[in-house]
This record gives sequence, C-alpha cells and structure tokens, in this order.
Amino acid sequence: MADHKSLNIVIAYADGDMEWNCSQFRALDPANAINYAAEHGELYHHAYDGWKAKLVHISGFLDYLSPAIQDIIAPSDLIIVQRNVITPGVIDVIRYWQGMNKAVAIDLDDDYPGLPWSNPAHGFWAQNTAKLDPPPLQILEQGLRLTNALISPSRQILRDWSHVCRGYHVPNFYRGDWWSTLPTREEMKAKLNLTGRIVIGWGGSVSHYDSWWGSGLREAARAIALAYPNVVFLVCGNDLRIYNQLDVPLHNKRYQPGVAPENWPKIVKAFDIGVAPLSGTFDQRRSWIKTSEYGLAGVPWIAQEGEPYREHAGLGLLIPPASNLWEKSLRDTLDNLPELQAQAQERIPLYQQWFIGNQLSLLEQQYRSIIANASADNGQLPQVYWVNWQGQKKELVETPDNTVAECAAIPENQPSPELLAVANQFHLDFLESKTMAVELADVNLVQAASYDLIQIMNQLYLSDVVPSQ
Amino acid sequence: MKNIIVSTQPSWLPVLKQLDAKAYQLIALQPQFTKLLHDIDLPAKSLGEYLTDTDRSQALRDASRLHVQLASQPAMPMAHSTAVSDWLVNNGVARYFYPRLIDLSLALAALQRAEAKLLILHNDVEPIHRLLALYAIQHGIPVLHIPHAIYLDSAERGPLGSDIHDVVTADYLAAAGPFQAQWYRARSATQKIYLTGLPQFDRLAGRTRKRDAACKLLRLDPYKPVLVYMSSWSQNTNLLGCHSGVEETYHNLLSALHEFKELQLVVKCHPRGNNVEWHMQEAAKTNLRCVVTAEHLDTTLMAADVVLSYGPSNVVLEAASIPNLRVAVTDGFDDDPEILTIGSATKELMVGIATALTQPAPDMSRLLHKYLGQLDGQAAMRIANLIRKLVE
Repeated sequence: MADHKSLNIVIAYADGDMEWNCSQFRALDPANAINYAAEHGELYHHAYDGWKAKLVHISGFLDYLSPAIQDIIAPSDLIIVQRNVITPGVIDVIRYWQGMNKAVAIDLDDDYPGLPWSNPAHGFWAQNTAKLDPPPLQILEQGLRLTNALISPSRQILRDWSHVCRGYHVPNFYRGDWWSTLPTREEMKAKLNLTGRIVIGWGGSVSHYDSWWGSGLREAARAIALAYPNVVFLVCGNDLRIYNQLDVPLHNKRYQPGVAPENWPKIVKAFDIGVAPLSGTFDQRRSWIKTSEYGLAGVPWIAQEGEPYREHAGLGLLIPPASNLWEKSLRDTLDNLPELQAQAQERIPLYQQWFIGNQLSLLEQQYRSIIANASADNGQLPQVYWVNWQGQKKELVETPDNTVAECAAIPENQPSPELLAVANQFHLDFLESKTMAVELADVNLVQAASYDLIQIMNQLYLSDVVPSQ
Repeated sequence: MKNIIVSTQPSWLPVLKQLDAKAYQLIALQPQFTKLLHDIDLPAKSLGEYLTDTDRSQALRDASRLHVQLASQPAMPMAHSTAVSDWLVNNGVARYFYPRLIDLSLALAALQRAEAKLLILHNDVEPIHRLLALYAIQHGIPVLHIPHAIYLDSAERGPLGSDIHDVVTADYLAAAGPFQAQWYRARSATQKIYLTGLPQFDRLAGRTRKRDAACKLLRLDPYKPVLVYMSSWSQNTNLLGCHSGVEETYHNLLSALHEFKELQLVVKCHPRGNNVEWHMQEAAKTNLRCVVTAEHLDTTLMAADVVLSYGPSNVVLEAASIPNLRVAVTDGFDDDPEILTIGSATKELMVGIATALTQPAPDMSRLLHKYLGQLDGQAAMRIANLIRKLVE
C-alpha cells in the first residue's frame, strides 16, 4: 500500500447552471476523479485512499459560518476558489479560512485583464458595468496578492500574475469515460445529417469571436469552400456571430448549438478536420482544450502556434500567428485526409495520457506544493471590530512578504507616472518585464477596438522604459 | 428503510452522518434543515413532503373549529386566513394563534403519514416539539431528546416545576454528563437516560492551545494578558431574572477595566444577540481599547488568559476544555471551585479579574467530567449507536 497522506480538497466553483462551462474542467472533473480514485483504491494501488474532494458554489462559500459550509470546509487541507474573486466579501472569506490555517488558491483559466471588447464579459471585467466598488479587476488582484497560490491551465496567465502570486500549472484534463468509447465518424455524421460531407469543425464559447476574425481562418474558409464544394464548416457552440459572419456559401457551413458536456465528444468525433485559430493576447492565454479534444477523437487538426498548443507540437499541424497559411494548410490536409486521419487515430493513446484519472499524481504534486508553501500570514477574521484602536496599533499590511521581494526586483527604468496611471486605469501591469510592451506592440491593431489605448500605452512605455537607441 | 424524524440541530451532523443512508431515511421537521443535510450529501426528506391536500384542508378546519370552541362563538362561514385574522382581533385573541394551530394540525398529520420509527428532538419544550413528542409517545413512537445545551442552574432559576424546561416529555435522553443526567432525573423518574456525551462537545476532546495564532488574528499582543468577556442578550421572554443585567454588567466591566492598563479586552457577544453594535458604542464612549465580535468563539477562547462569562453558560465549559485558561462567571457554578464566581458590581469585577489573572489555572478534569462526561470525541458515535438501538 502506498504511503500517501490523505488530502481533502474543497473547490468553490463559479459557473451557474445556466452558464456551465469551465467549472466542468476546473472543478467538477478533478473532484470526481479524486473521489473515484479514493473509492476504487484497488485501481490506484491505494495511492489516494482517504482523499476527498467537495464542491461548493461560490455563493454558498460566502456563507462561511453556516453549519454546512463549516462542515465541508473545516476538515479540508486546500481550498480552491474559482475565478469570481470580485467582491471584498470573497476576500474576507478567503482570509478567514487562511486564518483557520487552510491553504487557499485561486483558479483562473482566462485572461480577465486582457478580455477583448468582443467578449461579452469585457463590460463586467474591464468597464465595471456592474459598478462594483472596488472594480472587479482590482479586487481580483488584491485577492491574488493575499491568497497562497494561483492555479491556471495557462502558463502565460501564471507569468502574467507572477509578480503578485506564486503560480501552479494544472492543465485541463479529460474524463476517460466520455472520450473512450465514441461512435464512429460516419455514425456521428449520419446523426448530424452530414453523411458524405467533409466536416471542418470547431466549437467554442463567445470568447472566440476575435480568434476567427484575426487569425486568417475566415479568409481561408471562403477559398476552401469554393475549391472544395463538399466541405462544410461546422461551427459549434453558443456564438452565432461566428457562424453568421463566416463568409462562405450557406451550403458550406452549419451551426451546431451547444450540447451537454458529456455529449460534446461525440460531436467532435464527426469532424474530419479540427481547427484551432488564435488571435491576440487573450488567445495566448487559452488552454490546450481544442487540440486535446481533436486528438482524443482521432481528428487531424490545424492550430495556430502559440502558448496554448505549444505542448502539442508534433501531434498536429501548427501554423504561424496571423498567418496566410490557413488555406494552404487546409488544402494539404484535405488532399491527404485518409492518411492524416489514420495517423490521428493512431495517436489517440498519446492524448489519453491526459485523462484526468492518469494525472492525479500531477494534481497531488501541485496541491501538496501549494499546501507546503502556504502561510496563514494573511489570515484575518471578518466581523471583528476594533474599538478605540486608531493610532495605537499599526494596521496589518495587506501584502505578503514575497510581493515586497518581487517589487524590489523591478528594473531601474521605472514607468512614468502617466504610464502608471493609464496602466492602473485599465488594470494592466507593466512591472513584470519588457516583454509585455513588445507583445502589445505586436498586436494586430486592426483587430483591436482598443486601438487608441494600446497606441498611447505603447508610446508611453517605449519612450519611458525602453532605453533610447 | 426506517424513517427517523429530526428537529433542526446542526450540531447533530456528525451523528447523522454515521447512520447508513440505505437503512435510515432522515426526515427533517424544517425544509431548511433538509437543504442543509443535502448540502453535506446526506439524503433527507422534509416532513412537509408527506402532507396531502386533504391534510391541509383538514388543518384549516381543525384550527377554525378549535377557535370557535375556545371563544364560544358561532362558527365562521369561511375558514380563510383573512377572515379568521379579523375575527381573532375582534375577539381579543392574538393573530398568531390561528396559524400556529394550523401548523400543529399539519405537523400531526405529517407525523402520522411519515410512519416514523423514531423522533429526535433538540428540545421538548417548544410547543410544536412538545406536541409531536406527546403524539409520538401516544402512538408508540420513541422520542429521543438530544439536548442542544446543558441547562445550568443559577440563583435566578426558580424552584423545581416553575420553569418550562422542568416539564419532561421525551421518553429517552442522551445526556452530556452526570450533571445533566441528574438534572433530568430530578424532573422525570421514568425517562430513560443514557450517558452519551453531546456531539457539539466532541471537538473539545484533546484540545491544544494556539494562543499566538489566535492573538495574531485578533491583533492582540501575545505578551500581554487577554480577558475575553462573554456577553449575552436580554431574554425578555423569561419571567425570571434581571432584564437589564447584560447592560449593567457590561457598563460595570468597562468601568472596572480602566484600572488594568495592560489588559487587552475582547468582547464576545452572543451570535444571535444582535447587540454587537451596542457593545461597540458603549466601549467607544470610554477610552478603553477592545475587540468586539459575535463570531469566532474558538479563536477568542484560544487568545484568552481569562474568560469571564455573563452568568452560567455552556461557553464556560468550552473555555474549561482549553489548557491553562482561567474561567470566571458573574454568577453560577456555585458548586464548582474550578470556576471563579466574582459577581457583577464594578468593584467585584475588579477584584475578581485581578484574582483570576494572578491565580494559576486550575485542573478542570473533575468539572469537565461532571458536565461533559466522557470527553473523548466519541459522543456522536455513541448517540448514533443509541439511535440504531432505539429504532430496532
């Protein structure tokens, strides 16, 4: 029997029933996998005996003194709070549990400071349309500063926040039972009434609008539709804009509304080719979901180079950003489809290593590391009032020691007050490194609604931080 | 599957978790408690789920008929709530009486339909609890009382039989310790009493002290003494006692503490007393620095050198379970030398606090055994075993 100390994890998930999406990957799937492994010790050499994972919705998490929440969280070793660190109340509860000696991590799977204007959540996060005080990005940063760790499937997101919080990479993994026994491609095509067609598939949420417009894929799609009349672009998900604005004959495109998560693998199985366009800085902070799913379904794929798919290089076709190579890549793939599909089929076992049941040791490594590095220094009790205290006791400093150390490492070339004011207004950070300026400077400004802002910031940054030649 | 009806008592969660969900169906008296049980993955039903439309109509009729009989008035033509309310007011009867009667009628109907094998109550004195208990006993359903607290005697308590708690209805009792067992035996010769301990005290077993961490959370200097004052709230529903005692004693305490320059005060209010703001305002009028909260009992106790309770309270027992803590009360615990009884006048408080600060912490093992019995963290298990036995 393995000598593993048990772990008790609580995940405060963010998605509601009507918007169920990333909580599947970031909360429910890991929790189910942990509990399954704990209950089926014989399958895991008893490595996870005594482990436990429990989900609470973040709204219930806020009711931290309720008997049920106390019953669930008090025995835990690690609390993971997903995304919605957007009010001081959430931070109060995080600090309460830190005070109770719990390690607390925040899980972020998207680049909230970098949400493009095309994303419906931009209003909430960047413009503070909910009129939260303080604004949500400010609270999020404060939460990250106070929490013990940031968990993300994107290494780039971890780098973005590295001056604020220690980061831990936990990719999105997959449920083996959903991806192991799929119908054949032809069976699924028949179900979708696509028999005899060549399906170029894609699926995603409303956050991918810019990915299609800025990647070059739209332009290629028209050429491909004209050259290959039998091709159909199957646009799946809940953003009808992408489908409506895809400039191909109606005969060459089809819209597939969102399906329940457990049915999604079957839809992917209908694809002959999967595409994964990327555009802009927000997309560089995505996870590897698309290429993983294509791979698991034995679908040959074409994706754009960048952080999300870097680890899948060699398993599919990667093309440069903002590339005009989409058309050529699609043509090459279409012209060699049987061979590439056979190859993709053979590669399925490679992707199956990323079934979550096969990755529990990684979860364990990261979780234990977070717990080992956690400190209760930021712990604080809500609903405690200090009377006649002013001027007699120094307020607690609300920044962890490591922040001080990080700030001390800032290069001598400090941004000007003007630049900092702009950065502060839009919750952007310039303290990490010079690469951010370069990255912003490389943004395809034609696609960015915030053109003026970026231009101003780049000018300020380049004149201020980058030494004159 | 055996049906067990439970009243709303969150401290029972460790007990209920031990019952096999395949063998026992938990039925909560209140829907909120059903939800709580669901939240921690305990399948449960609400007692109200057993009611039918017929039961609801019958309850309306029962309540109306009873009112009419009580007031010797001719029967009302319509038994809807507005008409009845108006009628009640016109006849000098409290408005709440009618819906209360409906609730009672519904509760009895649901209890009958649920075919319970056991009724578990956290008190058998609230009207609806007492009614259910009486009905259950009449129909051969055992009633187990797992007290939500230990009633502690004080000078304010009247003679035996003068208090609502003196009427014992449940036929089985899970007692915290010898003191509680004797307290109930004095009030009922027939009740079967089991010395199980109470689940809310399981967490006190083998407690260690984390004073520095607690002081840090409360922003207190761990090198200076800490007095935690457990305030209370005015129970104006009680006919006995001093109704302004909470306020008077707090004022006296604030006056008394001006003489203790190094002493750090934490005021722990009752979590449902709704008087935190008042305690803050009164403290703010003085120059006395203090920390005020209605929550975080354990943290405040862990930070304390001396705990002073307004009157006898179960909190005293919680404090006594923490090593090296001196515990005082304004009154009560007269037979327990481990607890310093110091009075509530300003001078008494000054002398008492000074005494408590200078005395070594006493050995509390006798006291803990008297009130909490076998403090081994296994009370929940023992009560779960008792439940299984009663249901068989």
